[in-house]
Amino acid sequence: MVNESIVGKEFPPFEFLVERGKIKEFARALGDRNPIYTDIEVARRVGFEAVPAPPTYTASFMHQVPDENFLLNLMAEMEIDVARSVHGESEYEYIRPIEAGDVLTVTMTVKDIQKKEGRRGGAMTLITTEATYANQDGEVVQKDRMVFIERASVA
Amino acid sequence: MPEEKLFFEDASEGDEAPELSLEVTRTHIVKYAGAGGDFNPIHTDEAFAKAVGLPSVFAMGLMQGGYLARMLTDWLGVGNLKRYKIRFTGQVWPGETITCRGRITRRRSADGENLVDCELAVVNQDGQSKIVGEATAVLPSRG
Repeated sequence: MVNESIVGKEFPPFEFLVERGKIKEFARALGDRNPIYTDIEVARRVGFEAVPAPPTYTASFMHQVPDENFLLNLMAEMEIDVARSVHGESEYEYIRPIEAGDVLTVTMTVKDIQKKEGRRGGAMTLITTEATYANQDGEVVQKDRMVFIERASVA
Repeated sequence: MPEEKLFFEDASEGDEAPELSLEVTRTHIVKYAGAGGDFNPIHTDEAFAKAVGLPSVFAMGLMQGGYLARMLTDWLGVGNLKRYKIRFTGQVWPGETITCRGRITRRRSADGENLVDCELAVVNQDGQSKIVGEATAVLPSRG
């Protein structure tokens, strides 16, 4: 059962290094052959300083830093029952490009918790988290929001 | 600054993105697991998935979310997105053919930027919804 008192909670920030090889691997895993993700000359011609990250690349931080169980630990801290929960939504707000070599500081907060009546009866709980990414110059470059849905427990 | 693929002058409300389709295999899922780091066995371990009552492994939502984003950057260019929002409406199973679609719903200028708002969808071969989404992008001008 989700602990509703944690709305507004901010988790300790941590660093996320944006690696060039990881960007290539991520783009390739999605079948993306755009050379902008692998060839620095192509990226520079377009105006980037290094190869840029694909739009959903930041989601991968949750499985790399601060450790590979970050998401499970986060859900445990929010007292979300993982077995009854699904990832319902993702939203990305792009402010400045994220590029290889960037050292991002990630700050996660719990934005919102709402209870709704589920389609099959019983209350569902919607938990919205927000990750804010600031680069090495202290500029906020991106914000990601995720909604987790915890279904009602079976009576 | 960003990639120039579609110019604002050439964009109209109702325009559709070139579709991106693929038949999803377990290899796609495993590759995405390695790249994204999500090793939840429900996505990669067939025996585990069956033991918890599922017909097979299924893809991470952000895998098809990543293909949909690729369709967007192929169409509008890398570095142009301002906002990308997706809601997962169904699981994607190996053997399904998914199609990513996008359409311009609004073309507008705000604060000196030329913008397009798009509605997005991922569906399977039977038209069942997997993702419903929306995006806003800044388009370059021919000037």
